[in-house]
Amino acid sequence: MKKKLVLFLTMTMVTASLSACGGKAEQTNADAPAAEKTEVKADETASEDKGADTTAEVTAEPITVDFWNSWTGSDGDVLVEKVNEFNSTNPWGITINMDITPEFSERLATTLPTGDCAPLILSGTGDRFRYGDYLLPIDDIWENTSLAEADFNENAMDCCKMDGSLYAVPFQNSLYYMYWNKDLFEKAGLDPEAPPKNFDEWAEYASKITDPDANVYGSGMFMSYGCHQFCLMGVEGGWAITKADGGKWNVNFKDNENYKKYLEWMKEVYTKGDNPMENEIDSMFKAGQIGIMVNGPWLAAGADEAGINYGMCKVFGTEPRGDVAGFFITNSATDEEKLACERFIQWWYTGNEGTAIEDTGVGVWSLKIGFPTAYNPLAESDAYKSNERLSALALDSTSKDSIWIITDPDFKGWAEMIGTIGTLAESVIYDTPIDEALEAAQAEAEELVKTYEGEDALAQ
Amino acid sequence: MGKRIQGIRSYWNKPYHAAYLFILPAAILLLVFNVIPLFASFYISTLDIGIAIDKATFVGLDNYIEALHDSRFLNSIKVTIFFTAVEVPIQMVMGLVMSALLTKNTFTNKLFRSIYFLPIICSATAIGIMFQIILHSNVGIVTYWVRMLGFGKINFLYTPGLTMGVVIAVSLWRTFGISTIILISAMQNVPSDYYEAAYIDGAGKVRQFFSITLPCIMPAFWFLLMTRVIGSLQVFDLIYTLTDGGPNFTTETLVAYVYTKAFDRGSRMGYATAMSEFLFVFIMIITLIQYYVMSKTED
Repeated sequence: MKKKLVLFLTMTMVTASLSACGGKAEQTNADAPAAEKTEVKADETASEDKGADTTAEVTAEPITVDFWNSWTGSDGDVLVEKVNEFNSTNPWGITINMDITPEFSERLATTLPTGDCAPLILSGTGDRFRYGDYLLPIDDIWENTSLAEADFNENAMDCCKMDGSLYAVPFQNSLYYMYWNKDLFEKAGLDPEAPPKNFDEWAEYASKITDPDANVYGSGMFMSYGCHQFCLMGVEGGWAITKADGGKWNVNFKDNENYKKYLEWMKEVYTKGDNPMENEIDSMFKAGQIGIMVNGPWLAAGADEAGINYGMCKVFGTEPRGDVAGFFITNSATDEEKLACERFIQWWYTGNEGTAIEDTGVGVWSLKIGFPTAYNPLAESDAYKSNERLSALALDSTSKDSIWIITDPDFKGWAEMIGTIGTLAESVIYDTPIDEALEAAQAEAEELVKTYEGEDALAQ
Repeated sequence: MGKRIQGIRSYWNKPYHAAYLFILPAAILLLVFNVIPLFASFYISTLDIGIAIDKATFVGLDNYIEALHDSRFLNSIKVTIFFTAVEVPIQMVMGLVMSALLTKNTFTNKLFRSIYFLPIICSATAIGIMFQIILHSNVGIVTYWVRMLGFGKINFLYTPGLTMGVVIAVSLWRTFGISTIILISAMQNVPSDYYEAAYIDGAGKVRQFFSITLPCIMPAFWFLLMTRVIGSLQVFDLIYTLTDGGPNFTTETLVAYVYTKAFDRGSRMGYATAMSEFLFVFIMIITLIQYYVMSKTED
């Protein structure tokens, strides 16, 4: 009898345990957003849009993906917020482990060749030329996610491709605009709603605004930052390196009258004391000490926070120049990590189910920080259209030229040219004769053409 | 078999054999992290090779020849030598004076030693950024004070000539604490009998310093001088964070230029390594000269 009782109790315990396990499993499926639920959600999304099951080869296990970038400014805080939101709400059990570092480029240079780089990175799209061997083509993102190529600005997409393959998805247009401090304009007796329309007006207004006793400067050019300088220098001078016939390249510094004219103008503004001999101009603008300057949209958030009464417009009404930054997936990524990265990128643009476009990552990035978007559904949204500042910065949707800074976008060494322009401007400010400085820039740029495009790539 | 093992054991048990076993770990580390990279770097300097170290072309001594025709490289050597020639002597004198003043173990002296040592434990990046802010031409607090004192508006970080002085001053502020501490410990080891005998002989404090203290601390002094010269010739972090070599390359030291060439403009690892070899040879020559002079002085 005793033996039967022990056997019965044992059977009961085993049965109860197994039932409990089964019950728990069902409950997890129903409630948890991660792991098991992953497949359901992904199936729904992918099959709805593409009619394909993208989860078959994906593990249901939670996955952590490293994500490196260099967004150390105040915009980086927004990035952190959105990544945290993704980590706590995404339905795929993906955790993005983000590391924002000012040493990003050095890290890339040393970890990409060894395969130790983070699977997901944010970088300038020019890096596709520099690190192409270590980046994964991601043309399959259109099949693996609900994103569609047609939803992106064509110019921005061009900057993400190399040899016909897609290597990045546009994250932001780092375009440069003119900022002007309306209060300083008013104080100098200028119309606060009328920014300068040409170089002469810039110099004239700067002269009126400058007040040495109050530490106020009318002009705020960055002394040796190539991108900032070239946004003005290229207005009339055009690109520094352009395509020539037969796949060769022209370098356009030497004897370039428009560059010369710009450099003379710049030198005079500095000589008159209307522009500080500084590179740290952002903090001065935010302190209300700069009248007119050129910078990217990243300055806007800080200026808003500092309570500066300012305006933003295209530089002399011309199409904004700039770089496109994009999400890249490196060859350090496993297949699972690659898919997780693609899902994060999808989430950045579309959010979770039911998320309004203005609350998505891309929406917040534009509407809160002020970056003009490359994502058409956002550009067409009411929230975007009603944003006065963003609509004033609207992109030309067809001109490829409008979205590049210094050289033809196909020139592989364009990123190196930023330093060349910075050196050129700085040497002129410090009294190097302009012709001599242009010749030095010409020689440096020609070397770059040989390095990046081949020894015989230089057009005579 | 047993005899053979016993033989091996007996061989390594002898002190002059066992000594090799004890130094083996250190020797392996030196070999892997110093000797091999030294030869590898020379090999890399003969290549046209990028940061990724994947596509390499042998170019022989072309990188060296190019460096000798590179005006920016020659300028960076001049800047480095100037920095070392000014910074090191000032630091040694400051270290000597401060250590002479702070040798006694009183509470105040200990407090000042700690204060002077504090910058050593700060990161160069933090120091660079901090001085960038306090020396800013428009919003810097030091600039403001200088202006209040009637010296006008001075742009500390973007005035050729002046900026190198600022870099040297910041470098001195950052590192003289360690010189002071090393010299204090050397001074405290000078037997007090010497001073008592000198006092009885009628020698004053200054005479005691030059005739007793200075000769007795010479080994520490030479060590400090050598390490400071090497450190100054290799200065990079402070330059990179404070001025980035500007204005117009007037503070661009050799290592700062090497870094630019290797990791920034062009990512030319081979060329950058060739420039580093010049620095290596230069440091070696300076160190050998110092060592020779030190030996002569000791004799």
